[in-house]
Amino acid sequence: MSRINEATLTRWMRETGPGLVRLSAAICRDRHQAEEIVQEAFVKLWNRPPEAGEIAFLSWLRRVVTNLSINALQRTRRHAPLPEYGDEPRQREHVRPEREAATREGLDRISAALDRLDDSKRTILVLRAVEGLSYEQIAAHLDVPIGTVMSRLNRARAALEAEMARMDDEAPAAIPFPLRREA
Amino acid sequence: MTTRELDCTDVEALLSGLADGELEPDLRHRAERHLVRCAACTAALERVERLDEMVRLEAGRRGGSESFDDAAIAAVLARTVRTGPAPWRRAVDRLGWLVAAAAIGFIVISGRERLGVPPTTGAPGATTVSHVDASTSISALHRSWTYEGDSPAPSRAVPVAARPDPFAALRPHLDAIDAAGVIAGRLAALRIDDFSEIEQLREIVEYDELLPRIAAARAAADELDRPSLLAIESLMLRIVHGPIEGRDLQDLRDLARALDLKATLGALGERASGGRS
Repeated sequence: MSRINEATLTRWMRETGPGLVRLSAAICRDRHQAEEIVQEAFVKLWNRPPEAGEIAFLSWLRRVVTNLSINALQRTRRHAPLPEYGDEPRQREHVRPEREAATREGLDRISAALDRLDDSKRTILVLRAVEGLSYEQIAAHLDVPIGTVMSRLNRARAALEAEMARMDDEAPAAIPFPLRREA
Repeated sequence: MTTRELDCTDVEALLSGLADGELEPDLRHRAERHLVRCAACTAALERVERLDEMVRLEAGRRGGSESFDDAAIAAVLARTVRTGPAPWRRAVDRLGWLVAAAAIGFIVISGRERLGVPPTTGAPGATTVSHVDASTSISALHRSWTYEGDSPAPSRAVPVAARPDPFAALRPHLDAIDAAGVIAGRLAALRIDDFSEIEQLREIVEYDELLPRIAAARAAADELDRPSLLAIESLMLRIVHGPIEGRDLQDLRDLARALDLKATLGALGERASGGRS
């Protein structure tokens, strides 16, 4: 059984901890809970290190953090409070999508939309967009056939876009798959 | 394998693969040929890329680069390094020494017997190092093992029975059920003369290999859910094998509507997703 020493554990925590907290927070939507989850993952790593090299340790940590984050969601079922939309039109100037990434308001919108997504859609989005995992890695991570990863991502992205459009009380710019033909 | 030109519906289904660089070269080239002449699909691809960028930025803002600071590291060390090895690991270390001691004792005793050296005399019941005593000690030690974390020690008496998960068998097939719900919705919305739609649905069913996946989902489902999955499987068989005349199209649409397959399959997927522990 391999043994991790304090220096190695500390180095891994410094190097990978922030990224793992980002991953967990993106899934469970709570930064403080994400920090606790990542701490728990490192404790598990210390107590029962997998027999693998350093690169495989990171994959193992990422998977543990993902699973713990999803479990935390299942336990608490916490949702961000839904914004209240009144009858009056929004007063702010509509921000074109290509400039949204640069504005705090745009990030608030995407954050609220992500909060509304169901856990599975948000998780696969995070694994691809935040963690940059390949389809093969995502398939292994979620234990699903690789052929379904693309269709799941399609639906997750379409759902996110639909949530943002719903928040704006506007129709989506293009009818997302698969609703194109329904009229 | 078909080599016809891709249309918007095809490219929409491939959008994520295109944005993520995960398409096979031939399919990617065909999709790019479509993008050259289709502003709508090009805009959809750009939206995917922008959304991903915003998701990354939001994650960075939410997580924060300073979120795993010295205090967090100290908290982990306090639960790991500072407390020493886990009890089960200390037991393994002790076991290692005991096994080594037992092996040495066995070798010594065997050697003495072979050399004809009489055993150490003493009062009845005097203990000698023997493999039997070492084994007994190892067994006693094994019973004292404890574990941290979520693995129970072998010696713990009553194992907690795991709550049965009614959707465990079905969960690997959720994606196929989702796709089947999409198919059902589109069938229900068909116009009577929309044969081109049937061709597109056939492409989707074949591309996503939905028939075997739905068959597997049907086999994994309980009795209440199997009829819905069987109905969608039948519909897909008709879509794939055809031919489909006008009346057949009407029948397919009526069946999809009558069974409300899209909502039924959606509800099944939701229940199975929510059943994960």
